[in-house]
Amino acid sequence: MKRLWKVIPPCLSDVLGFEAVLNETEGFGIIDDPSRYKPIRMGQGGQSHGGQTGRTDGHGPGSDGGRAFAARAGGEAHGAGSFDRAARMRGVRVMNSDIRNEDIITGTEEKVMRTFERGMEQYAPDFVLLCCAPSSSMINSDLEYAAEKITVQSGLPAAEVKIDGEKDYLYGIGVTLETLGRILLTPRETLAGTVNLLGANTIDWTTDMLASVDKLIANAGWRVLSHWGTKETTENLKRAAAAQVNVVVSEAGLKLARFMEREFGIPYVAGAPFGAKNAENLALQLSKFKIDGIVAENGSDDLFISGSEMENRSLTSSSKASEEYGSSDLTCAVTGIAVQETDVPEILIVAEQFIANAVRETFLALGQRNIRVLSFYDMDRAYMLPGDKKLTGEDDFTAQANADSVRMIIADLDYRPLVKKKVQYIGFPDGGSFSPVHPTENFNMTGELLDLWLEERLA
Amino acid sequence: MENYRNMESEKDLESRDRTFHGRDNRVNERNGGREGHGGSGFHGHGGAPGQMLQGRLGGDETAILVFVGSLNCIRHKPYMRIGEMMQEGKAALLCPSMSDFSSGRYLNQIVDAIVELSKERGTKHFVLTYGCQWVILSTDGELLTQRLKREYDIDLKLWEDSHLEFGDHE
Repeated sequence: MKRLWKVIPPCLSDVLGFEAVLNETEGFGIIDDPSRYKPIRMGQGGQSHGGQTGRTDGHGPGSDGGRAFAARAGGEAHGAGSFDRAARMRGVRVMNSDIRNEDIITGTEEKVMRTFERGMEQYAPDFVLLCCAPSSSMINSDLEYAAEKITVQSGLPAAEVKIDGEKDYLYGIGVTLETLGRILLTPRETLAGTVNLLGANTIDWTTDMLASVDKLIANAGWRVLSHWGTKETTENLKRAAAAQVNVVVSEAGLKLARFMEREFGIPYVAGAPFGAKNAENLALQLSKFKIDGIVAENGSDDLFISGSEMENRSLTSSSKASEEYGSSDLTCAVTGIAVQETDVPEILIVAEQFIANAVRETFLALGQRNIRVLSFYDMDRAYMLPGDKKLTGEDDFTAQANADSVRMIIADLDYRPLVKKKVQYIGFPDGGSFSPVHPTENFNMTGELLDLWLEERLA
Repeated sequence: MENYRNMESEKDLESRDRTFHGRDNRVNERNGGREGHGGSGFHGHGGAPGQMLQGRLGGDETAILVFVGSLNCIRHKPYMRIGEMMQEGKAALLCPSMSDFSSGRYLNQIVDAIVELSKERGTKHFVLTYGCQWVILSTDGELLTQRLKREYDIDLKLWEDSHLEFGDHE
């Protein structure tokens, strides 16, 4: 039955994606919700699936290593026990509005504004973002108006992030990043040789991945101006409009990239640089923005492949195929390798779209064919190939996974009980799971590390 | 209709009297076993998340816990181990959309979900817990309970749980 989850544990919600972004900034988030928000992985015994949460290097709540934008000393001063609570809530930069039954009748505005005042005192934020929880969404709380009031009252940039707690964390991160871009960015003169890294986040990414990708970009001769989704200062975020190119490394960065392309003419390249082929491709794409070491002007469209061109290519590939999966002349938009041959059994990869795409391309480079990407999380059509699918629920996954043609599945081990046929099943990390039962430890997939990981499992 | 309270242990109720914040017993009694509410002492954490959720089944080995609400509603401590219960066949989630809620479609979805689970897992005993939408819509749980009993001979118990009413209690 649609919307009924019997086996697969739930994932983190869009509101937790909102929190994941806010916790890494110098801003402050208000969630119009009756109950409090804690560090995202709190209570899971410190388990972070290898993600940034709980790391000691400043990425992720709980252990900010001196780099996190902590609240003022004293933390949430709500009476007795606040010292202990402040320690537990370290790294959290969102507050709930504490609404109750009576606010359902009278509206939540007053409590939202009171929460803003508390937040100002505790965080001294540079900006404020607001979002609904399911309860306030049901009564259609007017947070847009509250955001306007906050700006008038404090002079701080503020906006509502349009989410309601129904969708997945990836969608929440994407919409939050885009909204953040809308309130912080103004046109700037382009700084040649600079990029922004969009979409790396504390849920899917490890600190190792982030460091490796930064290094990869630096080795290609580019400087990262700002990170969107991981720890960053407001000052750097505001500088982002000066970047020459945006590098989008997860699906969650696409909405912001498109906004920046539209508003500031900043082109983007997209794809996770996981696997040697993909890392190489990122460097190659970036190199097309330069001639003999001189960075090309924005708009020199014969010199680079912009995100929109990438999308067109991807769509062109898609349109070549008939609607029915299995057409033989499909090639990957990035690597140009043939993706599917009708007579070869299928490989299914179920993960965050960009990570799964990177695994597919790595598989292709290893000589595998007929690979489809499926995901329970937000997917972008432009980066889908025919046969790829946004899963609508457990029944959908069960049908896909048990199809006669499937011979291998790469997915979270928690999906495995739904696979009733004999297939080769490779456990793959899923940072978005809220209640993992058999977690696969996350690992640095950057460059050839993904190839090595896959080769090891295929041996 | 029988509403479950905290079925974990009476010891929890006793220890709640000793909690640091010295909360009102009536409220605690209604909410025992929820996130950070009562349980063992100073921090107000009421035991391991898995036990907190298992406790809602009231010791009934054949019962299945069904949560009805949005994805964001299960972000609380008791649900952190819901994955284990799901894989053991002891819990399930029904996540109706906002339009399902506002149109009232969720009521039929609940019945359909419970009947499907009952057929698949061969049990007639269910415990239902819910998010804020249920409360905002003043859902008539008793009517639902009667319908399941009358039409399918299924026993449904409701676990009263609303952050809108009780908040965080810490």
